[in-house]
Amino acid sequence: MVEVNRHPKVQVIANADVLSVEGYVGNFKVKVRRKPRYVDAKQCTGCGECKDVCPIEYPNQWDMNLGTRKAISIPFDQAVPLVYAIDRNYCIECFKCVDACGARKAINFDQKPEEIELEVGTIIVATGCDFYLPYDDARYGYGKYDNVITALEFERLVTSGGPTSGNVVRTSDGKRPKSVVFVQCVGSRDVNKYEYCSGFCCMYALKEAILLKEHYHDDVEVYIFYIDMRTPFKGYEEFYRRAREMGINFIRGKVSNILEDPKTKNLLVRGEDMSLGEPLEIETELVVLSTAAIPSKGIEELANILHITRGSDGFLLESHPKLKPMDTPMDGIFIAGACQGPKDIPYSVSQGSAAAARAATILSQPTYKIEPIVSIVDVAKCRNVKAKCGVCAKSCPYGAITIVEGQPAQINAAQCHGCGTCVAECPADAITQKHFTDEQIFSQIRAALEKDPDEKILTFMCNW
Amino acid sequence: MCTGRVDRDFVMEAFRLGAAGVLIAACHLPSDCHYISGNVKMKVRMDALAGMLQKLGLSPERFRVDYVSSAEGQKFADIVKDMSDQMKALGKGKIQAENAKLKPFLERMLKQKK
Repeated sequence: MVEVNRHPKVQVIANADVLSVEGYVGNFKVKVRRKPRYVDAKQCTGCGECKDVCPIEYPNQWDMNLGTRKAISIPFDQAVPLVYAIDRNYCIECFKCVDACGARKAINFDQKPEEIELEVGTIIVATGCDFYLPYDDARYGYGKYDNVITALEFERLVTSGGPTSGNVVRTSDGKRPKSVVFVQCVGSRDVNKYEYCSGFCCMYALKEAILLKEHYHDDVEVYIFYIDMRTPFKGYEEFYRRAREMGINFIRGKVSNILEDPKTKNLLVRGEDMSLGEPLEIETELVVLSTAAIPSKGIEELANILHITRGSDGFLLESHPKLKPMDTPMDGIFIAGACQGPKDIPYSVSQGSAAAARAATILSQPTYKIEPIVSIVDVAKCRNVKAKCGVCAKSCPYGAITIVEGQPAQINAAQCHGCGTCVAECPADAITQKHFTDEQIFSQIRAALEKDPDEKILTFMCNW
Repeated sequence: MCTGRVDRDFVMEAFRLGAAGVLIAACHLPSDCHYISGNVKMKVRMDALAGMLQKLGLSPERFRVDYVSSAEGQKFADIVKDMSDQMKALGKGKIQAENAKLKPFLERMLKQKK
């Protein structure tokens, strides 16, 4: 991250929202609003003296709210860019930080949101995913029992840079758990919640389990409840084997419910061992839920801004699942990582590199080839010359048609993707689509229904 | 090309030529369309057309709009089988009679546009 930030040709705009994207491949105009940090990025050296004097602490989202941060802070030590920010929701405006900053004068409480306009040739979307929090699933007791946590919370506990410096503790009493149960497929692979497999939870559960065993050896009992262990890629199966050899207990079966002992705050995990075909109860001190990866919160809004599509699972949709896995239906916009679907780090890195290469291919060429099936307007027929019409512009999903009063509709061929919706919507039949003209389709209909039409069902389907 | 391209005229022409049935198979609503929203536009347009055709005497099962993704081969086969069973149940005589009744209207509609 630091290397990217230091690259002379890379500009990082952090803490910002994309407001609008207009234009087409090679000529995108992007409007971005940078939220105020109340700290001047040029003056801030990242020394942290302001943080030391700040009296306010609030839960740190980066640590899954298990640790705290100051009202003026960076989320974690390696944050990029290394510029402190003030959270005005928590700041009490005591201005101690201003005194601590002194002659550097980096702190500026008058900073306003700033709108930036960028002109770019291609766009890569890599907004990642969110994780399902099973508050609504009473079986697991998440949010109700102190010692039921998600895998991401556990990850913060077990990392040396986390709020507990790598000591795994229970949230109820701060003691180290002597037994831990991991529950796989919480929300995912469930027809009532998220049908898909999140793909990487098996691997991270194995990692966390191995870390526990490496830290505490025989002093901790680890159980993993799973439906199937999915360890298909390079080195993964070996990792799984290592976990089994370390004495981690793998139980094939789903957890039916979890109960809490109100005195000890220990948990009773009930489930079925499918290998034995028997019901099972385990008393444990900590339960870790491997929850489903889900589309990130603002993804719908972003998809609308970029005119790109989402699949039925809510993730961004690729142009072709096998041949164009990082392309979108919009030329010049690419997707990478978990915004396209749940994926692990190596897969995300591969897709990111591939998307960058696809974008660079476009930028390095003087011309760009488009599909020849674009729509064209018959100027003589267009109603917009004499009256207000604009039906085509409203129907265009890509915003490729511009309407100026008193002038025929104009279609930007570089933005047109050949769906043909405007052709069918045009009340004056003034638009034709190349290679799918009315004459061509009528001829096909006539040829198809030439013999025994009353025994035939004619089907119109999309084609892409 | 998207189902958004399917003109009302195409459907009318098919019935004018005496087709037993017309099926439009689009991507799933609301967000599965490869062309973003072509299926929504098609749905609005075809709902209006279906209403008109039914008033003119077309049996509702002869014109169907359904949603099948490219990965749902079995669903497509089921829909086509279901529809062809319905056509058989209606019988050739009824289809021909309806078509004869519809034809003058459709010819007028199609001529008006040309």
